[in-house]
Amino acid sequence: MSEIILFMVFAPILGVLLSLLFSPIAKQLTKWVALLSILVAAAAASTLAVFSLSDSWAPVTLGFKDYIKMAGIPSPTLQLTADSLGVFMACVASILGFLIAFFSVEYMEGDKHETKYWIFLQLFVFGMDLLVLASDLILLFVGWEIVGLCSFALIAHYFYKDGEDGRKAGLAGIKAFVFTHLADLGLLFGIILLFNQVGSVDFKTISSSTLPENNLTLVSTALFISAIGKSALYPFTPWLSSPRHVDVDAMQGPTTVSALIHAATMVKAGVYLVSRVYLLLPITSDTVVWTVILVPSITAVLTAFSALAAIDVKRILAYSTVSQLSYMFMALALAIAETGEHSLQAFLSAQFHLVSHAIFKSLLFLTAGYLIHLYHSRDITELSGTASWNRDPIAFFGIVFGCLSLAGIFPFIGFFSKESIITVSAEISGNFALVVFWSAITTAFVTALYCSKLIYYLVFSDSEERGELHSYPAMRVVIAVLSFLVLVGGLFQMILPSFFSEYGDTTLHIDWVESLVILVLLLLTMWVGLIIYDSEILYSTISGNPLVRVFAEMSRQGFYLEAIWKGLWLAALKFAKRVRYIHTGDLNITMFLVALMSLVMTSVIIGGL
Amino acid sequence: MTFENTLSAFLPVYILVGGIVLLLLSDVFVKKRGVSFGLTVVTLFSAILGVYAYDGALPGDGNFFFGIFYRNFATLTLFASIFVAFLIYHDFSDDMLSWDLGVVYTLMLLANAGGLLVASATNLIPLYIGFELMAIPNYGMVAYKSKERNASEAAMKIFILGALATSLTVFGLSLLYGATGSLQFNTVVASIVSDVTALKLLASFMLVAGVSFKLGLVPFHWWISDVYAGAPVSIVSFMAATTKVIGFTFAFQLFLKAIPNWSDQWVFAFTVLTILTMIIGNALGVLQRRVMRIMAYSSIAQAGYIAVTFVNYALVSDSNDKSFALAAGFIQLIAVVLLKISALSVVLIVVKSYGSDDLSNFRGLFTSNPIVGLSFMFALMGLMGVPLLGGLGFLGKFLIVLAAIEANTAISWTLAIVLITGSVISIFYYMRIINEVMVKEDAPEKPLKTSVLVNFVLIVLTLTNLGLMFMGEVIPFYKLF
Repeated sequence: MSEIILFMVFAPILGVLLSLLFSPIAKQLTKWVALLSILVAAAAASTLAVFSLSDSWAPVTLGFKDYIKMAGIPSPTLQLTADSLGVFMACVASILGFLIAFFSVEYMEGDKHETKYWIFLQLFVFGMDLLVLASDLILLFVGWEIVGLCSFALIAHYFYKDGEDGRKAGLAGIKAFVFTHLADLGLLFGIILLFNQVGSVDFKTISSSTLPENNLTLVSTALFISAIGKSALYPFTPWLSSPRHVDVDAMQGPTTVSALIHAATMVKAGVYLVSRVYLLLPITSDTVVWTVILVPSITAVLTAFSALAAIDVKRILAYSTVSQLSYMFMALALAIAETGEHSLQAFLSAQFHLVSHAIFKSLLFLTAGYLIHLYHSRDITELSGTASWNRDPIAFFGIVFGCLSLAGIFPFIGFFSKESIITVSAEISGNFALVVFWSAITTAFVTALYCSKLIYYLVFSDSEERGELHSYPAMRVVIAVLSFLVLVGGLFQMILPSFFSEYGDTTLHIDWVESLVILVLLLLTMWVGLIIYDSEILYSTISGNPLVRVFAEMSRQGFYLEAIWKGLWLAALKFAKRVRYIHTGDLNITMFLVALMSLVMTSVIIGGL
Repeated sequence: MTFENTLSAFLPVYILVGGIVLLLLSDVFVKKRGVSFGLTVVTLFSAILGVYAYDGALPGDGNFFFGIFYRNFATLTLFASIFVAFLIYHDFSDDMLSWDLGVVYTLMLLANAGGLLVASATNLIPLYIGFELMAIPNYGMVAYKSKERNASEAAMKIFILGALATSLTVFGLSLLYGATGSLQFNTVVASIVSDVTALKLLASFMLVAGVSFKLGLVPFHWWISDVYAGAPVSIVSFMAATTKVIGFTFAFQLFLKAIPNWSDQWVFAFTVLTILTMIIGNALGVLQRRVMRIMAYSSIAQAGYIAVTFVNYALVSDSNDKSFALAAGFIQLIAVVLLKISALSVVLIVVKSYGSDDLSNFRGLFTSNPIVGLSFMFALMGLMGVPLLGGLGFLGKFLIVLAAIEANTAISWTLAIVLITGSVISIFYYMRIINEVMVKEDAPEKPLKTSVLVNFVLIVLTLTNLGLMFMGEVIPFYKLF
């Protein structure tokens, strides 16, 4: 059975090699190779997932080799392990990856650099599979870096375009690479520290060994920083979504890439890392738990407001991704803070929201991509009425089902996953849970508001005359499949506990009374939202209020994170320029500087003793 | 000290000298570029074999020791020079000086003989003589294209500043002699004539300053970017690889073997220097547009990473940990040799084809010549330290940080964090180059002029770099020294 893991990892990488081989001979072949390789990976992942439901399931390990031999320290190995969490993540990545790839067949048709797109798409799935199946931190880091590299290449996909668009795409790729690498420092640092302390980077050895308290704090903080960098939580949000006037962010890539990054791969890697840390390290320090709770709680609320203020459909979805990711982080934080049944329940609800978000967010992004592809615009005001029932039933289903699920309305999958997080946080007593509960509730209402905004503009708003609809069968099939999944996905609630039974027995449940109250309030909010957006008088009165105006402006600016980072970067550049002025190349000045530096050094050394 | 012993111990040096004589003769009588090149490569190869002819000290003599330290460093030096010989052959091909190839090779072999002396010496006098034997031919090599204004300016700079560094080093050595009354390492380590801290401090500082000059640590790095930008590219690769290895051999010998007892005096100096180097070296790279200058600053930064070894070595007490710290530095040194030569050979190809090393000339390298483009990307990723894809470049940095954490003091923690930060800053300038390499549009029209020899060098170096990443499997690091 262990050979199945090999399919998951080697099918995509084989696909990459084959695509490279075919690209000069038969360009058309590359996309089919890519589809096939990702399909094989998805099939292998689902097979393992089915196996893992049975009682006799035990994690499968496949060994590679000794890596570093040193005195007195056991040598780390490079191994792949398929445990429940890994298989689960691999399933999400490769199945959704396949749907997105299928969608791309039409979406990317005739693109100038189509081959490059397909190669990096496969490499992306490969990196993600490697990342989640790695059984030691070094291999995980490799997958982590490959995912980062691919996101760089895919976000910058349109760099060949002329003028502003190409420039922005290139910059956006570099921005994503730099921001995530900044956070990767944490991962590298954590790995080295763990290796130093435990003498191994292997997950099994790490989980069975005990670390001193202060080192544990250091390691977990370092790993958490790298996770929020990958997941674009505050303060690393700008690479994923930036204010409108800057417009250099991951949204510059093709919309399918946005779907892939947001739904299936890149940002979910951060959630995976924290889940893994939860399984490996017994974190007890209050400081760490507070950090892990406060960062996502604040992020969830603020990014939801940013989404409310934005009018670019991709930007709304990007902000909402960060906001929804924060839900998972909050649930995981509760899992870390608690012990026993509640802990596992919180962990499960995080995983549930992960898969639910993956489904409805890819639905939303792909529908948005479909609309953008048809009408060549990203602003919801310009796309008004394009998803109305009369015009385009498929787009209608995509937008309405996606938005209702995102807002957490029964019977869509988002309702179940969001309510299970809220239920867990309500059942747990203490300050941690209180913060999570109120942050989750607030975010849910703001989410309902921007969902009603999306629905209003795209579905109900008056449509101008538009030409005939171009038919895109593959795109429509994918949207239909995802819409169906969103509708029935709530059933996952039944399977997930037995899927994760490897880590202990628990159930996912929803407090129905509380949920119904919230549901009614959410529906009310959406209804009020629709009324406000529909009536010009109400809308202008509310948006004319000075307090609302100031707050809306702040939200639109992404709460000035972009400006802060830019200021830091400019300061660094200024410093470098200052230093460069001394490098004149003139021999006399150089000799003088050497003498001066020698004097300074002497005094420093003598002062240092 | 019998004749046989001496002969087999100094066999590689004799081979090099013999090679020099043959080269000069062939320059007079044969005058074929291929012959000079072949002679050089064969000489260097047989010198590598000769390194393994003798083990241990010469009987009744304390001035040389041919142990594992000598073998590792001497092999690396000679190995680097072989590849440099390939690059020189490609570089000096189409101008007036091309038939003078033998002279450049002579100078290079002389420098290698100096490197062997440095690696084997256990006495300050041969150590210093070997070091100068490396430095003086180096000036000549930089000045070789004397008709070019930039090259002669570079030669002038490296000569004057090198002389300054030499004087500092000699002054430091004489103060060291004054303080200890001995020139041999083992007695220097043991004996103390005068235990005046000021004297020790002054001597240490002079030595640190002199060595930092040669290694290019900030704030003694001023000459590097000018010399790199002015000198012929193949000579730069010599300086970035062979000279750097010999420089570090000298520094390791001096600080870690001769005066480890004075570590109180020099650790702090090296801490300050390495921190400055890793930050400023990388920050300056960000602003450059000429690839040679970017390479110069990356060279400075890499020297900074390796120099962390001094601190790591001094701050651990266990002998296993000490040898691990040294091994980490050595691994990174191998990585720098492999990656720098392969990156610079790509620069050489571009400069030869388009006449300048401006960033725009690197456009479309990936599509126009996949071998060159791909190995260039691997080399840059190695210098960046990308895990696995970067090969040995990653392993080296990883081990250095690991050794720093092993030392577990405030200083080494700071250094570990600065090292990681520095390598993140470096991503900016390496990514800029990679970005240009990937772009297809506005690529230079003219085809790339490459040669079989350089392609061979590129392929061998890239594969070696990736393959050696798994050297932990073959050679346990604690047995490396």
